[in-house]
Amino acid sequence: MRGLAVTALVVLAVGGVIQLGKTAAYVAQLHYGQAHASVHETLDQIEAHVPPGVVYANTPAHSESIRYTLFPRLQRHVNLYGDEQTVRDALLKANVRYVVITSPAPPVFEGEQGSWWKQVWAGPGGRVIEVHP
Amino acid sequence: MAVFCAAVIAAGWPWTHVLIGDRMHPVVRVSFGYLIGAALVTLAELGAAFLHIPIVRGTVLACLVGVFAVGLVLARRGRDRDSETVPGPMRWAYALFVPIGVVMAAIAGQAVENGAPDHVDFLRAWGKKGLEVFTDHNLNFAHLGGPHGYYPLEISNLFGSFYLLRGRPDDSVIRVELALFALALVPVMWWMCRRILPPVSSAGAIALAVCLPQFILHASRGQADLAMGAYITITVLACYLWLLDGDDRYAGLAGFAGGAAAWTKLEGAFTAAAILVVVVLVRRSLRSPGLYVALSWFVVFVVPWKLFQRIHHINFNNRHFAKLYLDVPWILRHVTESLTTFSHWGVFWPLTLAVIALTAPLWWRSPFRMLAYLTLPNLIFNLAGFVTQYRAGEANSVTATASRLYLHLAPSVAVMAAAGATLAVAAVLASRRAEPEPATATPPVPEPT
Repeated sequence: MRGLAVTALVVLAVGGVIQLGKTAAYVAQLHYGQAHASVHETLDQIEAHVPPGVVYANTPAHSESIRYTLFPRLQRHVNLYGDEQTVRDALLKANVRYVVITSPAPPVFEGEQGSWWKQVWAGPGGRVIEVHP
Repeated sequence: MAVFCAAVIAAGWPWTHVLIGDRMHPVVRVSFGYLIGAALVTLAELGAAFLHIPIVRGTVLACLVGVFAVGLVLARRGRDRDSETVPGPMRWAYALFVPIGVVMAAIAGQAVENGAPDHVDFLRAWGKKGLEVFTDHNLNFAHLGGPHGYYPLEISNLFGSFYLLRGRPDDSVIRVELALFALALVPVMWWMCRRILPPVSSAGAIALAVCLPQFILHASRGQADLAMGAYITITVLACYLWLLDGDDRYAGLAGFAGGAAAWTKLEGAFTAAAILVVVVLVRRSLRSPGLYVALSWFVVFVVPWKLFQRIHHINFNNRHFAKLYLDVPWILRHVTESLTTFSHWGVFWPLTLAVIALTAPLWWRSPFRMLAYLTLPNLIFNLAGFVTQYRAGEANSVTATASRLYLHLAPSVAVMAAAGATLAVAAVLASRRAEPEPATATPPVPEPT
């Protein structure tokens, strides 16, 4: 019994020191201060481009921050999921004038495919706005 | 934010007399006040929504005042009692306060300095639900897409309440609301641990619980897991004190904290229910003192939200439980990998589980066996989450969720490890005392004749 107790205390002492060391290293590398633009700064960027009162659309992936930002101001927004025809129909139906995409952009916005999607979104006469929060 | 948090603490303050009724240091009472006030004020907002009262600034203020007033009336019935602590020297406990203080300072600094949370769960669920409270003035979540409607409301209502009092959805300091759950847990754990452990063991349990990268990360990330973990820790410790007491002294606190855990996250209902069932099993009676008080608090936090969901056609959890994934070895392997990731956990899980296992022959024959009953089963039950999860069988899903599910249990497991270590020290000291006196180098001086 004493052997088990001593082993447990040795394990606790060694493990405790490792744990404290790991925590100290973790705390030392913590970043303090805003690592990204605040919601308000993002909103300011969007409002600099888009007049109030228009209908926005948000892009398929990784745009939760924009949707979250816009939500209080917008009672409707459009999710641009689906194929080209579905997206065009959605944009026309909702009279979307502006499409907001965030940066860093998901892969779908990059390269040739990205340009194609941007054309689709801009197709019904809207504008694509890239915001860099 | 400071004013809002102070108001939440004030609302919960008289309830500390109602639910606990022991004398305690004001810092401990403030900490309990925040944890209790946050749960009750957000629950009162659900009550207002039931009555079709719009959730506006006045409603939030009325909920704060109402919770305080009801608590004040109920608290006048009795006087606080003294409760005994386990004696022991404080010197080593003070030494352990240093790393605990450093971690608390880091958490507070992150909460104040790092601005709006950007974690996807905050943006997609907790924060967005708070925004809906602000914009729609109800809890119907009619504009919320996605599957998050069924999430309980404590955290999102806290966010929404602050937005409403602030007058705009200002989330630049919203991390503070979450960090306070972590900061409040430390004095509360100290107070509860000191009833069962000597000072150095109590401080050791807290140091083990908070000196964790996962604990620090989740303290202000924008998710509800650490808040739920705080309530689960209180549930475990209050149930243990309740069992030790043999009467109903801590039953109200146990039931309240279990209910608050369920009101914070869906998993909280299952985890807290498993802990409360242990009390029934240990006492082997459905008529044990305080059981119905504890169950009443649990029901108060669980049932109204379920009713509200049904009345307002808010989606239930229709994704989990849809199918079963029964590859248990696969689940065990991936959960183990997640919990032994050094960058996330250090050596927390191997360390605490090894100490608990090595000291099992000691605690099995002591009252701490009941603490083990309350603490350890949920380590197994959590695995069931990966059997029923809608993305069961996907390794990245286990990685994403295992750390959070087990964070709920980490502080109470730390207390169990500290209890085992306390018994180990006692066993070593007792065996030393039992050994015969060693022969001395100097022969005894003969008595002069």
